[in-house]
Amino acid sequence: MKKSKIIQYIRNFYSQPVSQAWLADGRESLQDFMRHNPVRNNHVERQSRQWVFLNHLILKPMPIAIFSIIASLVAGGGIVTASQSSLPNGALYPVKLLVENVRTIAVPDKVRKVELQIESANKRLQEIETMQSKGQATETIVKETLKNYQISLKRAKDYAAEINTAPQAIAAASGLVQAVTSQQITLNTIKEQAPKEYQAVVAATQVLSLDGPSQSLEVEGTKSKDETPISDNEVKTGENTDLDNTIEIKNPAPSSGSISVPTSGFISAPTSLPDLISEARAIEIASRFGLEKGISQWQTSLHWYEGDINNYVWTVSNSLSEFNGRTVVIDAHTGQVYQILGYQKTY
Amino acid sequence: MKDYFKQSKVLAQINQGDEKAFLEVYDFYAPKLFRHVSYRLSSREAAEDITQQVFCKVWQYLAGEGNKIDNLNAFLYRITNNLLADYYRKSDRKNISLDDSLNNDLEKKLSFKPLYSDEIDHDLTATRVKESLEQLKEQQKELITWRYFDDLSISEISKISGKSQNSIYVGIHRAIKDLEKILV
Repeated sequence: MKKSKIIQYIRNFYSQPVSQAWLADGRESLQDFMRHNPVRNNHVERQSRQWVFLNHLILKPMPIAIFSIIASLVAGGGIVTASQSSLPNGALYPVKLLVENVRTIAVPDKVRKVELQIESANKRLQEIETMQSKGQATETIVKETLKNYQISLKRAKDYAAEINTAPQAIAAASGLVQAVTSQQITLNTIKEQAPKEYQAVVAATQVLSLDGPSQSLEVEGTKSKDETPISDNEVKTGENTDLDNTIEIKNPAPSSGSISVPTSGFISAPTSLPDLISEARAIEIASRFGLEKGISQWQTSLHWYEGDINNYVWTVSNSLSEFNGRTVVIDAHTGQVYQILGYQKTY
Repeated sequence: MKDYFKQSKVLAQINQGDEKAFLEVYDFYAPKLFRHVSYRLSSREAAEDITQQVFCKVWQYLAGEGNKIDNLNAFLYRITNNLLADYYRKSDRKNISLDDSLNNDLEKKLSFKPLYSDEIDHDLTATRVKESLEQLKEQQKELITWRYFDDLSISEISKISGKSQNSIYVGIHRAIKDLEKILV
């Protein structure tokens, strides 16, 4: 059979007839859905100072190639799949954390972002429990993992605060409260299993984890009343747990106290660090570097680049299409471009 | 015949959250997407459900801060494809694209309408082509379906699949060659 004939047959393949009644019902349901989930006007022009923190992406000192592979394999495969079962002392653990971050970035829906970050927070606690059951939970590992737990919870709180529609915001906040309540139980178990030397670290984390979601509920005017009191006397209540709701960057120097979770480790504005280049300068550098204009406004954020570099970086990201985009990573002190990353969005 | 939808005119409106314009998109694309989904699924209810979900997903995407669409056709098919993949994964069902109704129809014609021999021949050949298509690799089937059944351009398929236009072109060419071999 000739190619043209085959194509003709394929074009005329039978498919089930469309029911007009279903179309009409679907139209009505869609109208209803749109009424309950309005899209506010998206102005293309860039806001003068938009501190859209790119999901507090923790950039690891990995070559761009590895990052790109991970981003493209977010749905699974190879290293990415293998890393998902790794524990904090495993070689692939940084990949696991990175993939979780990329997944959150790639999801456009804020409610889903909250869910993913809660999922990540739960995973951190499960990892500690697993390490404890294997007798591998050293103080450093527990501290680091609790720190990552706090970061995930903080991100979930931030995303929840960014949700504009009331039903979604309430659902997200309620999900957060439920998650934290359940995490408190897990933290209690972890604390009981932990040696005395670092039980305080776990207890302090319990206090901090309660602080986050309650703030996101305040945003919605439905502050939770079910904050369970912490019975442990070792809790250091003197620590500053008021996390800024607007602009935050991660402090490069972990607090020297008993805990390295980001409590006073958050500062309220990057302008308080005189050596850093401004956001406008970062945008200019990204522009000179050839970052495409894209289909929507660029997003900028300031991060602490963990690992060997140990430095602040600006990230400037575009959206090349509804499917992908690029991010320029710039040294926030010198303005030098570290790398340019590609990312894929999933829906 | 390919139906054209004035994307540029409607895109600006839906990117601004215009509900009326989005309903126009629904009116135009819902039957096309249903055709695509029902071709790839055996269940009519599932096909209707997935088609409906596509539009809700697109609207949710538009509700996100700064989110815009620049190729509606590709975007709709990409979301459809993702939802289909989710459906297969969750239900652990196989992709049954050979719809029973075609074969039932054929049986009826053979039993009761012997005079329409041309029509029967056509149906038999169509069934052969479908069966041959089923023998191709999953990716090849997808490419052929998008290109010839859904009438999508190479560029649109490239955006849906995330592969280069060149690899799409080569993939379709190979798939047709393989189909020809099977049909000999």
